Amino acid sequence: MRDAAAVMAGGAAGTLARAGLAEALPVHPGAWPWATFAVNIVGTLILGWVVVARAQWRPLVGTGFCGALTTFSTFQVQIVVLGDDGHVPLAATYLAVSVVVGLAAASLGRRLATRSAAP
Amino acid sequence: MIAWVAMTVAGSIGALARWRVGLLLAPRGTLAVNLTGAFVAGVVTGADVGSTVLLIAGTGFLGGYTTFSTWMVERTYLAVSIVAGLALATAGYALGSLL
Repeated sequence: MRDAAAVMAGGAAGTLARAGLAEALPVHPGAWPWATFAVNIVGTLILGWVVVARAQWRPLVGTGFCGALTTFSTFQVQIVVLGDDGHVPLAATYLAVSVVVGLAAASLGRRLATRSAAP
Repeated sequence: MIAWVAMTVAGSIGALARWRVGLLLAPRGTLAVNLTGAFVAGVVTGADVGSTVLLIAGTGFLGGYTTFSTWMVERTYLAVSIVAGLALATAGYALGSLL
């Protein structure tokens, strides 16, 4: 019950932050989706750190905030729409760069947590 | 203003649903939410649902329901998520365009 409330509270905050950035940085047809890219990478970095450094924060900050701050559905639809509009190289680059930088951000978050925990 | 409140509530419900699916289908919860979410996001984007519905259902619920961060941190089903996610989002988008 307490975990459910934490997931929902974190989820609300993450959703609001993502939508706010999307509103501030609207996607232009045929352009790099900066808002989604930014939330996905930042959220992954924070989650990588949380799972190692603050496991007790996982429901609120991890599953709730980082999970909702980042999005897979919008990411996939953006790739489909870019491809549909004829921007296939950009769509493929956006996909590859998001995954490669995302994996690096997850590793960096974990490494920062391990380093700060070391004596 | 009301649309943004509804969007935020929808996002928190999406996050709760993702957490429940994760408990139910572990360790394939992230894969399940991301693939189903990508398909439904394709449908609502392809269909002419209007900006308010798209904000609440797409940005709110589906954005909260699916996750990029957990997918990257878990490091599992990387290729499957990409291939099946794009196929489902494309199918959803095509289906939505017909509606």
